Amino acid sequence: MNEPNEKDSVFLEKRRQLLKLGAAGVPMLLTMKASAAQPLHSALDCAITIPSGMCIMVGSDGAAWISTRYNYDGSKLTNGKVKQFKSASEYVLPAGSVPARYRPDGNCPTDPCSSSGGSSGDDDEGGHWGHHSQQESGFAALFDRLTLTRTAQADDTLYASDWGHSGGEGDDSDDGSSGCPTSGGDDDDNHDSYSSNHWGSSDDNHDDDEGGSSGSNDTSSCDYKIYCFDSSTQFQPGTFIDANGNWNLSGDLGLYTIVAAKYGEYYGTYNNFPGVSCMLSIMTYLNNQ
Amino acid sequence: MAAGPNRKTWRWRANPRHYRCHVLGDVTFVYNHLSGDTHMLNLVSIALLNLMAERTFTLDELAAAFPAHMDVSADECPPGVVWRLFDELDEVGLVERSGGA
Repeated sequence: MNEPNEKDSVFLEKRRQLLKLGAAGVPMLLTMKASAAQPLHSALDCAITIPSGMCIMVGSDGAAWISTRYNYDGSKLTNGKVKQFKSASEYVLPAGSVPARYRPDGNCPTDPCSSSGGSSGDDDEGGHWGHHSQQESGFAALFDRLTLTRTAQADDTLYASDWGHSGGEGDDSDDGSSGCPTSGGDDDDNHDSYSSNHWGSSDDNHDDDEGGSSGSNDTSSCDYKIYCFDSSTQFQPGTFIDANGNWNLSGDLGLYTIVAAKYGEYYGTYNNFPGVSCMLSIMTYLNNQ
Repeated sequence: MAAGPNRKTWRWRANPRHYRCHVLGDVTFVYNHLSGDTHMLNLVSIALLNLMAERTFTLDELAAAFPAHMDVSADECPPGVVWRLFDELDEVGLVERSGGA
């Protein structure tokens, strides 16, 4: 926008004076809220734009890591990838922040060599793609643009029992044939130099194996699930509120709404989590009703 | 709890598709389509918004570019002032992150 009289000395002097006021802390911007007489209160009408490439990694304890810098390719989650995601995360929420329905189910096989255990082990999650247990209800259309994720299955028990003697040879058997320790399991990330104690949650086991020996020990990924938004996505969280003022959250956008709300609850608008202002606006409005 | 993003490395912009401006004298009324709010910007804040609508900036780049855009010296418009102005725009959702490391 071209400013009239931009080079005019009076104009420049006005801006100089305003700059001085700005330097003194005087607000340079005033906001006029929409009229309460509007059919829909603007506080409920705000929209959130989820940045392109944003992913949310949810831990089994309900903690969440949010990043726009981790390029999740949808492949199997491994210890190394979990570590990389945590390192790339720009926001972190503590345990208990994410409801159980969005957490990994932790349904890890106790016997990876059994037919049932093997089939649900960490090599064959292809069937999980695009499948979410949460109800999509009336918001299905909103989720069309979302890609998702999967849960990397692994097993605490398996890990504990096989820790240190998994065969370790890592035969790179990614064919989904077995999560059996003797097969080496899925070793494609065995060489990640993750540390033994980076996993954060107490149920992450003690990953002391070094590189090639991890094989089926790469189990802590069982405790994480990643949700990604593949393109800049805009939605109105107010659509999740029913006529009684209750939240009906579902799907990936429901998760984002929860995370944004939790971030606002914990940190206010500090650090500007995308959409936190909108969520605080809505929550403030609802709390005042 | 570590939660802090490194905003300084991010790139920011103003997206004119998300707002509409109406100039009245020295005041510009900016209606934000996303929030439904109308904001009154003075000559300084609208200058910053217009600058950020031209291209993306890191916060450092913004601090370096804004004085020249305002035709004032860097001493008159130090980085801290630019960043505070930026925070005001960001707080009401008139600027957005567009990428960065």
